[in-house]
Amino acid sequence: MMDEDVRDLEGELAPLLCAALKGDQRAYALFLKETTCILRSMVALRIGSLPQDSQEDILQEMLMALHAKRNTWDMNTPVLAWIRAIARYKLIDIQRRRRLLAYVPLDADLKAEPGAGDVPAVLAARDSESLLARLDPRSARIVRAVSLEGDSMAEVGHRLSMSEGAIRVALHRAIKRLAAIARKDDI
Amino acid sequence: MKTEDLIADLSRDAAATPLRPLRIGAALSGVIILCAAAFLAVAGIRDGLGAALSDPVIGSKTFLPFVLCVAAVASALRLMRPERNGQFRIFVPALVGLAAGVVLVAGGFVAQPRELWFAELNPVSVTQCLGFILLISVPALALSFRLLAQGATTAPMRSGAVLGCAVSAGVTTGYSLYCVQDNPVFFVIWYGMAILIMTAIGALAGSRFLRW
Repeated sequence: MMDEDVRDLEGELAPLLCAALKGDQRAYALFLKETTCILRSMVALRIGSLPQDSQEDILQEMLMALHAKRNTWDMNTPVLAWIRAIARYKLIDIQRRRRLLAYVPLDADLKAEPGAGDVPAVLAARDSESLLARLDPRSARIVRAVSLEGDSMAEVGHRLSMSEGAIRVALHRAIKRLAAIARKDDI
Repeated sequence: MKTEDLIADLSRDAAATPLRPLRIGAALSGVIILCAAAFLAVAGIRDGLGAALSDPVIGSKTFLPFVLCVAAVASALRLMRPERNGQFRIFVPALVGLAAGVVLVAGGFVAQPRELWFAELNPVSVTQCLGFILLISVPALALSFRLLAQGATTAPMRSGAVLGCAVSAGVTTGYSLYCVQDNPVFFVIWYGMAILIMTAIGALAGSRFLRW
């Protein structure tokens, strides 16, 4: 294979997909393998802070979307632009869905104490410190202690001389605000 | 499942028929024409259609929605390709249509004595105009969504809005062959309202049914 820098991905991938659509399975396998590399780097760039196995899940979901919509490529247009458009769409879609999943239970039941283990998806999905820096210092401290370091609400409350209930409410609000910030960044 | 296994699985199923937007465009036009024709078959065509169409002001109530429909269908088809979500090119035709509508309404104000401006404005005629257009548009839109879902829009809301506009503008074109309200103040406002409502419904439905 040629050197990374001088490889003509477009020139390699377009004929492969072209042959694949006509039924060439070997060409399709090669196409998917090369495309996986592109997708992997996109996933690493956008959600590199997620655990490896969730990244792989998302990658596979993107591959399946690409497969399902493989007939929408116009052979007269660049295949890379087409791949990136689908990948971007799927990534945003998946992130949105995960955020919704992470927030519904919190909104539905304020009393449910987030355990040390379940770090909110917004924090997991990106550089948490840069997000926390955009909260007021006290909220950031609460989120860091409870969600990232796993301290109990009672401990944190004692340290900040707040009641446990007040911590719970502050945490809930802070996480909602973080989600809003993350959403704005995405758009 | 390992990614390599997934690739092996997917590659066994390589062949696919390329998307043909022109064919889908033909089907889409067919759906719109069929729904409008079904209405005309029941309701009938207005008296003096030929004379009405050759009058520039009255003819515009058929011509303007027709042009808007063609532009919107083209835009909806373009959006079926995932990488083309920035190229929906409907703003210019929509703005030209809007400007033409404003000119027509202004012309209607100038050409008619004041008491005739809103002469046709009564609940019955408005309900008839809006009601018929919406009634025919809804099933046409539902069928059209199935066609458009064959593509892979990466802007579902935009696609839905453009599709709602295309369908309702097409239906309005058909409806205008039946409608005898020839006052531009009336038909520009209520045709426009019907198309706007369907565009909004299309946008909402698109963000739900055109996701994949």
